[in-house]
Amino acid sequence: MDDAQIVQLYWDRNEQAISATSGKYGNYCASIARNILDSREDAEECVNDTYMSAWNSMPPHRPSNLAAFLGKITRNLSINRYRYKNAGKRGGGNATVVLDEIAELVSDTDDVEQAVDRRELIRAIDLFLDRLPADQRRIFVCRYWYFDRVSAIASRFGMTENHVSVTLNRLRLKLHHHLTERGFEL
Amino acid sequence: MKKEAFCEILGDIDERYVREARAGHRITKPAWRKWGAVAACLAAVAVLGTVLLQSGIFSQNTDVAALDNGDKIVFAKSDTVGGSLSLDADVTITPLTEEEAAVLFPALPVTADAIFQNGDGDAGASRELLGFEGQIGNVKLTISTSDVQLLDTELVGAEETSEINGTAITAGYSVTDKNSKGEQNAIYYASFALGACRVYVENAGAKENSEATKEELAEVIQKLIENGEPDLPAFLEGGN
Repeated sequence: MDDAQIVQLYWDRNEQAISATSGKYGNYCASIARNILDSREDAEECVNDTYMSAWNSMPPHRPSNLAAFLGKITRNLSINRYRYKNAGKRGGGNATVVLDEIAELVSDTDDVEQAVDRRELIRAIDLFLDRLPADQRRIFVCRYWYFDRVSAIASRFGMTENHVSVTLNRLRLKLHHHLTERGFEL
Repeated sequence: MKKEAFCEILGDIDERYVREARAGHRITKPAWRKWGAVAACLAAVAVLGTVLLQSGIFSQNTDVAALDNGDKIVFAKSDTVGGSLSLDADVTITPLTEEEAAVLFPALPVTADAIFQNGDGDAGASRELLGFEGQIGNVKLTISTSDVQLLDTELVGAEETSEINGTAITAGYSVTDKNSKGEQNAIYYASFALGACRVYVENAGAKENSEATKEELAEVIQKLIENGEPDLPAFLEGGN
């Protein structure tokens, strides 16, 4: 079943939308949730919550890219659950490592959060990604959108783990420079 | 900004990139195709630049930095400072010590990393110095010391060529769009050769402070050229 047909099932309030989504994108969503959450049960719950959220979002939404739409819901739900589980303490696992890397880009304080225009910041990040060679862009997105492990990225792109780590380090520095150069106080 | 907030913002990047990251597998291009494509792009930029300069389109959009030795650097206004060249190599990055920085860049406040391409893994395989990346004060510095270009910013659009002490300098500047506070930044950049080294420097600041930004960059360029080619043999003999 193609994506437009699945989306139409949601709009028709047809419960087959859930099984069609699970069949086509269940593994995709689960892989994102498992990258962020150490607990398999938590990951499964986030995937199920993704279907419920999709059901509540369509209509009014009619996503043109269903995979990214679902993946984004899973990512947000998983991050929220990670934060809830690790509130007030330092968590372990892959997500903690990825967030520590992201912390290198920002002050990690609340001081400037209100001052930054979110849409402008997203546009600036998109511009940064647009100017990267495709391979570097994909590596960045795999790490910081999908929370892929370094070993998984190395395998996917035929690189050593050290090469992936060095590449990510360079990309973080470049992004930080790109954003501060444009006046963003992070 | 908290890291969790920035992480959420990263979740809102263009969906094209999200889809692209999971599409297919990496295709490794033969080196000749990669560098052939780069050469073709540079040739196209050169031709385009020549045509535009000859047409006079950019001749009224220049900014000049006068140096104390009488030379001047002409920065041509460019729409973008964009594009990147891929560094498709297994590398090791090593911070320069103060002593190493003083040997390579005398009298300049340089903080930089040396970038080495790792050997092929065979016992005794030596590593090759690719170049340096870092800062001179606020000025971003990239130096490529081998055929592998570290230059991560491809000069696109208009540039002007000037000369300082006989060294040809290609320079330009661009101004960013206004942000929500109505602020704009000016980015000045220049590229030139020091012996076998290819140097790229860039400095950015608020548009209203563009004179200071430009002058700071011009001073760095002048000092780098006065220093001449970095003493790579001394650096490499020091255990690198």
